[in-house]
Amino acid sequence: MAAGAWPWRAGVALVALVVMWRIVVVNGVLYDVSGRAHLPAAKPALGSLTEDVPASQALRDVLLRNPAEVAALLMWAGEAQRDAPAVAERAYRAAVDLAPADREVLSAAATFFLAQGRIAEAIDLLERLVDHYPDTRERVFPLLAEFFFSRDGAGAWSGVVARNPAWVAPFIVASCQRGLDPSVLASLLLKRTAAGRATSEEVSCVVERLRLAGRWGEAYHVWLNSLARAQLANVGYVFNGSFETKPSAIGFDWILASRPERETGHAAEIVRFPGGSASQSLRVAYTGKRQHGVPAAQYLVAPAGNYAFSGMARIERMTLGRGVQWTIRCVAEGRPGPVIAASERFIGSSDWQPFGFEVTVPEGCEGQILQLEPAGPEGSVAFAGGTVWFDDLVLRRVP
Amino acid sequence: MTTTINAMHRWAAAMALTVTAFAPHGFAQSAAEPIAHLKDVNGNVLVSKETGLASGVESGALAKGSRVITTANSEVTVVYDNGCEVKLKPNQRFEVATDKPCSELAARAESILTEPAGAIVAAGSTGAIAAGSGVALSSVALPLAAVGGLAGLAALQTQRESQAVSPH
Repeated sequence: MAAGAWPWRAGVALVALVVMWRIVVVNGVLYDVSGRAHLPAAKPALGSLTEDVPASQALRDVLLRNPAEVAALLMWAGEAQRDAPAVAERAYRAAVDLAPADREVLSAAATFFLAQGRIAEAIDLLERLVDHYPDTRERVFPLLAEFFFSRDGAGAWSGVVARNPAWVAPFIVASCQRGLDPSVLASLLLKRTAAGRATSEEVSCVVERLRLAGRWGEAYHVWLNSLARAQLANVGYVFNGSFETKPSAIGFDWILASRPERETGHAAEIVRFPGGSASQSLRVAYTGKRQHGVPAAQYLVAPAGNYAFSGMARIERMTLGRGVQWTIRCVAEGRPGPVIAASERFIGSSDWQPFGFEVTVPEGCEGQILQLEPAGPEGSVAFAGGTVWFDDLVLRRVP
Repeated sequence: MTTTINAMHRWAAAMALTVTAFAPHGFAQSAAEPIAHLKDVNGNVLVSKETGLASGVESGALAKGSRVITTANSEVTVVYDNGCEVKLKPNQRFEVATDKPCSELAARAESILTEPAGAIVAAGSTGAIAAGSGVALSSVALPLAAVGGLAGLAALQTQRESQAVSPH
């Protein structure tokens, strides 16, 4: 019985040796540790191959041994694309089919299709590239941006919005930060906001770009589109003047100081007034130190004309400095200008009481900023201590 | 205590409104006569009030000078009392005026978004992007590829050395 098993065991051992040999060859000789083949193609250029073996012949040999060798396909396509683009296209398509998420395959094939003017096909590959390899986005996003604002690209963008791949939000933000025409961005973003998929970073950047460009109407409109239906019920010239929703600091919502109070000399928050009231108010606590920046501000887009600003205020031991006041300034080129209207100074102590002041928005003042500032001469050093509460801030148009 | 504070709050608010209403500089706005109304409100439509924009509702009255704004995916028709109708597409604004014939009023519904200069634009479903210059795509695509695209992608390929190949 033992003698009968010997040939069988020898056969198994032989097969095992053959398999091991193949494993060594494949992993140690034919392919590198990343899985890519060691080809003649690994040399700098095909021209460096020995003259007695034509480059195309070497590639053909490789492909005959393994038709699914992606690196060889790419080289074959690269060789053929100048003189035989149809052959190159077949090779690129085969490479993409074999390795649909390979970085080199995607970029090489996209380059080929771009050079051929086959933009839609190139964009499809570029989308995959930025999806799988985020480090390629810096180079590829400008191409995508240009395409998506083309005649054909607009339709493609709708498809992208519907799919909502992970790269879209970074694409909008990167394009915004790179300085793409804000109108282009607004058009791209509006479809995202309409689909309820725009992120706060996208909206914030695009609205700010439009605002800095002096296109207040468009900035306001993009921001409006980002609001939930309930928030649109009563937008007002002053948004969320009753402080019932959490400020987003985006667009034309409240911007509360975010730096530490040891740096600014104040802290602003929206809280319920102590005593069980259900409604919320703006509370600003001043530390008594020198003031840097403003604790609360909001950009406005009030058309030229006359207005009445009104609200409620409560003051607690504001005994240091000249007090604080609400101001409205026109904003031009991103910078607040001189004060066009200001409230009374809030100083001392008082329970909730109404306050109001008249506002005249001059012609040419398309955008404004409402902010709580220390009272006193412009640019002077200001100190403030104590606490102020505000609620029900309203800007009302008057004849 | 709570009741007292809330009552004071409400009293003060009422006083503020009263003070505002009778202020010598005319803070109060006289109620303007409605001359039109909204019809077929679809989506988020906004109408200017004395305190700013607010949602527009079906049959909502519109006075002279009111502004009507449509957001993305929204449409509305402004119907004047004299029968003139102005249809607003998405992302448009319209100021209710009376000094023009109906045909001119209809033409005053304008897009809020500016068309970028020199760009190829497309007729999107939202109406935000209007038909533009009509330049063929390929005429833009090739310069695009030549100037930055190919160079950028070629650079990407040079980074390939250490990248893994996807499974075959």
